[in-house]
Amino acid sequence: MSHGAGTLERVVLSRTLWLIVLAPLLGCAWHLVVARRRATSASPAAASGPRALLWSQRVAVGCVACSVEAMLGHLLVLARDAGGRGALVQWIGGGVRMGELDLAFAFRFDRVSAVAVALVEVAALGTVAAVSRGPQGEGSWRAWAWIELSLAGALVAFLGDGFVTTALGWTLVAAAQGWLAGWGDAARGAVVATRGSLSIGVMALGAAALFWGLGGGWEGDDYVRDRSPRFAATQLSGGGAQGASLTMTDEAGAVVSADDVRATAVTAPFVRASLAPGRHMLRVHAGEGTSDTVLGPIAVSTGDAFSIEPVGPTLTYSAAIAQLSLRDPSGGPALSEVLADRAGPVGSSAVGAAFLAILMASLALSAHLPPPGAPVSLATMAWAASVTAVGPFLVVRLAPFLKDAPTPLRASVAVWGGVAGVVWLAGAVRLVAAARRKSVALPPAPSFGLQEWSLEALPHRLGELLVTFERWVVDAAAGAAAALFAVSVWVAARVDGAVLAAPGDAMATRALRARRALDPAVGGSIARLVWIVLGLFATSVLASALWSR
Amino acid sequence: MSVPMSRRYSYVFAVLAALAAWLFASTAGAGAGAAGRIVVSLPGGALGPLVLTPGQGGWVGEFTVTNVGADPLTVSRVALRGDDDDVRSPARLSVRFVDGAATSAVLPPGASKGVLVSWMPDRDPRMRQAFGHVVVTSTDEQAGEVAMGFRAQIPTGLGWVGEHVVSLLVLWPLVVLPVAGVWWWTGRRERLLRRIAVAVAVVEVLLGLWAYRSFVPGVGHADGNDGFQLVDRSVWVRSLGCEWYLGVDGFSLSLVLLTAVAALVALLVADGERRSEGYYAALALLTSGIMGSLVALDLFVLFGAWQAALLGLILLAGGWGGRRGPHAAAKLVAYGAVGSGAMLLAFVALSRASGRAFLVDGFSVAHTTSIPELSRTSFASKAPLVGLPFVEVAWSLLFVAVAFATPVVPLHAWLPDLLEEAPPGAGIVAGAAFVALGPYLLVRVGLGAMPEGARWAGASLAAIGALCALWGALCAMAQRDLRRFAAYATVTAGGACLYGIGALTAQGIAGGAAILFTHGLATTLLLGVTASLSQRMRSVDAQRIGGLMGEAPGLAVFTGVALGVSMGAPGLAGSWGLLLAVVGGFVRHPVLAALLVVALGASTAAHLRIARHVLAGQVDPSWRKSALLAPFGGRIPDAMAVELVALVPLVLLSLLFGLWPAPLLSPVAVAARDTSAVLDPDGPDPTIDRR
Repeated sequence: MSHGAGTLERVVLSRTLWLIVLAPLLGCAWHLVVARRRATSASPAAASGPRALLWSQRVAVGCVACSVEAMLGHLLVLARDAGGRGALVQWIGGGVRMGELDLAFAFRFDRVSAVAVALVEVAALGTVAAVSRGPQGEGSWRAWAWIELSLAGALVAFLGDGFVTTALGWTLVAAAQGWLAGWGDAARGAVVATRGSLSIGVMALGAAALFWGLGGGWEGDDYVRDRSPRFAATQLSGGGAQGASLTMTDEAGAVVSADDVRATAVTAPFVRASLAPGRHMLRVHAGEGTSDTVLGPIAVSTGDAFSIEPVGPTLTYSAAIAQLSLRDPSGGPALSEVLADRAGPVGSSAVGAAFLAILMASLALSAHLPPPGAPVSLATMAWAASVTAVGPFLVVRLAPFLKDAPTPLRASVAVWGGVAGVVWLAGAVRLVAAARRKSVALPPAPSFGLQEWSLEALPHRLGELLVTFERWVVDAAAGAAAALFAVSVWVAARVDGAVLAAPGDAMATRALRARRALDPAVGGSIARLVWIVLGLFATSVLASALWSR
Repeated sequence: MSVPMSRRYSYVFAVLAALAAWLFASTAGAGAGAAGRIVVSLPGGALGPLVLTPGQGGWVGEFTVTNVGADPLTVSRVALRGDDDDVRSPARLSVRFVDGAATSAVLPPGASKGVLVSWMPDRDPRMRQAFGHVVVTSTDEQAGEVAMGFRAQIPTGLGWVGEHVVSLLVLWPLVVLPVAGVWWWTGRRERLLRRIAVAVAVVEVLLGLWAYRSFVPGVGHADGNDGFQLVDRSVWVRSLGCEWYLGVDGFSLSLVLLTAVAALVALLVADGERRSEGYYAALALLTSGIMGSLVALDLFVLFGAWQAALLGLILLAGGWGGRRGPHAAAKLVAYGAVGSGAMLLAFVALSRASGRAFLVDGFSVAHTTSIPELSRTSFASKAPLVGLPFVEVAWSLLFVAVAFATPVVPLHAWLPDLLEEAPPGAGIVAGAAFVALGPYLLVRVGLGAMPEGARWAGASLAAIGALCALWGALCAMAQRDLRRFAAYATVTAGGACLYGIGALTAQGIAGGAAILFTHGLATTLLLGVTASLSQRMRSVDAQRIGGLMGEAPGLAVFTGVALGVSMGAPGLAGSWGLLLAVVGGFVRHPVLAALLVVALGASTAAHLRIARHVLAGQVDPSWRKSALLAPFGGRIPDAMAVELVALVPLVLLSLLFGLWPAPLLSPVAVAARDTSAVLDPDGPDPTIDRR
């Protein structure tokens, strides 16, 4: 297969996606270093004085608000430049190539990740609001830092375009998970964090299965690789009217030249680089550790748009999924049907093995019930919005692979989805049993379970609609779930008077008085801010629903 | 107690060395008598190799072919050694007779003809050195094919130092030895000696940094010089066919830097107490030995450097260790003797099985000890040894040496004792760098020189690696002593490394190499903190040291980062090697990959258990009343300035490489690709050029 044709989404290079994650990370670092030092300083006045508490709160609210603003800004860019159906991509770092293996951190902001990011941002805002309304004390920095860490981890996981970035996000989430579990008992936290690390290891196995499965199959103990070239020049549907163009958004650092003319060389990632009409040979130099790939000759006419896509093993979601849309010169699907029947490492399908590992990892990361000792608002957010969401999100992200997957795989996905839903339901019941007022955590639970369950239990078309967010139903449902969740957390903050009363916090009473003193100045403004952002979020969900029409 | 131990070891070493010398001498001199009618020589009768000097837009040099016989001599061919399938020298080298473009001639009796060798590198060449041979084929059948070696060096900017930086890296630490001798003789103050040792270590780090900066990551085997850079090569013991042949490639570069840094940290952090002259001398010997083992491209040099490192470590543990230091030294002697003996036998077997080769100056030897030359030998067709296939026997012997140093279960028992009982400085260098020698030897000789053996043993190697990782992780879970914990964490890392290498894929091999560096980084940090705690509290019991986060946040950060890197947390440097090993190994051994993941999970549990005790726990109330902490008001003092200077760069490197692994992995990528291409010509990765 030297070239093919497919339908790839419109891609816009971004240089600012990292801003969505930066603020929570900085906030977490500030609370761990500065606020914590103040809290543990010898002077009780310095530790829990109104000014110190106020600053701690301001930083937390500001960081989350900055992240929300960055998210909203990128939503607008996505709507304007990518027409709502494309994606903003940014290569963050890494950039080491070992043969076919491309190790890089990359972000991708498309509608799937936009909805997930919006969900977690709203949840974070709700939690910030809840914590703000609770009593503040010398232990406040822990709650703020935890919220920011959890938020940052979830954001990295949702934005990540590849297993490498997802692993980083999962690590932050697992750290937050362990921290929350160990709020009152460090041993319990170590156990939970270990489970999180195991889930990352299992995800790596799934990634390896998918990676090699994209480039070959196992015949007994032997791996038989495909002989296709590393890259394919794909003609995009709907090219521009002026000139011809070439796009390459994966394999950052790869150098592409036309007809071996050095002056034409461009370095990936690039979008819509101009290409003169005519017949061209394209040379792709992916890196020092790999051999060059020559594509063509390719006939280019005015108005054509081509994209160079990696073919075969990759750890990048977009590159992997893009291969599914490739067509061979005869017009048939080049890869997707082959993948379904391809033998995997232990006799099963390669895609099946990958999904099984990812589902197991997802469950290991998700099956975490909020610890009784942790502040309820934090536990609620961890359990429903960030920690439990990043696992299923990976399944959603890779859902296109399931389209042609064998029935046992799809059945197993459904079973796992059901199990995950039950686990989340059990967590909700446990919260209800612990305190009736905490039952507000219930609403978000089924939404994620539903997504996984729907992959198989519903008719295929409907499941696809739900999972891939291709229709307004899902957007609206997700928006409604997010709004409901935000309201729930907000209500929890109103009714739960001891959100931050960590065990042994001797300063709680005095701090509560201090916070009340600040209430008119801080609490009210936070409330207004939260509702404004919620309104913006609802607007964005509606806009998203409109684009998909 | 230590003296008898070292003496006992010396006896073993002497016997082995005598055996080796006899075997080499009986074979290596066989080719030395090639005195025929054709003679190649340098102007003025200078010794080879021919040194190319700037001129004619490049680097040129000239030597002479003389007919010293009574009959005419037909020189049928004057050419560079090697071809497209066996690249030996960099591109753009040419050779011809001085008086014309021809490469053949007839020389009357007594006549001479000049041969011009020229190298016209690009303006910004990938290779800054050129090594090779010009071979001359003539009708002189007695002499056969004769050769003249040549070398060229593009100025490095550091003059002589830059041209011999790798030799300096090996020899410079030994400056401490005569200084220590003078100090011992004159009975001067030890504090000044320590400062001199630190200064020497600082220079060593600077040399290492310069070597790293000079290294071109994209250079591979196809670029000539066998893919090695910063090569320093000269004849050492002609009668044995041995050369002082040093150089670095992607595998050794980062380890060289790690060794230099570990040695400096060992002096800065771990040895605040006064030590005697012998201690600094032994530490210098250890550092020099490790460095020599890492850059040696000759089996003889490699073996000698390995023994120097081992001797230094034995002396340090036995002479300046704890109460049970002599016991640890005795264990090291026993295990080391087994490993060294096996290594020597493997080296001798490989050398005897090798074919005719040329030394750097063109001198012909019947057998070679040069590792790049050995890589061109097909050992599969060699006569069996003790009734078993040659490759299997030689590779197994080599693996015994690898298993000792890595260390592989059950040859690992020396490491926990050593790290517990050896002085902290020696522990840091041993835990960070010495243990890297095992997998490094495997890659350099086991994979590089004996690819047939690696193919034969690949699956077993991966299985042993995965099982070792699991064993080490389970043992680490039961440790209270931080030093023993570090030892078992090292066993786990070594196992993961072997698994990656056993996969024989470029990704797996690169993962193994990356693990060596990152785990060394983590061990340096962890043992550095351990040494600091030991100096303050005279205890490294994780269950007694608690609450470091609240008491000493600086040390807590160091510990946290060290544990994070060691267990391979994504976002920190340690993750890349493990990820590469798992992904690279999965294609060959998926079940073992799952076992490795389980082992890494257990390892994480062990690391988090230590973190829970040391970082998050509460300070034992008894410490408040301890006389040790009384000067600090009953609190654990935080990191001091010297500790910050030594350890903060390691923390920053851990974070930097975690998010931007290119400086760490780029040098390895090409070396791993070349190795994989030789090992596995039909490997799974089609992007690797396997010509």
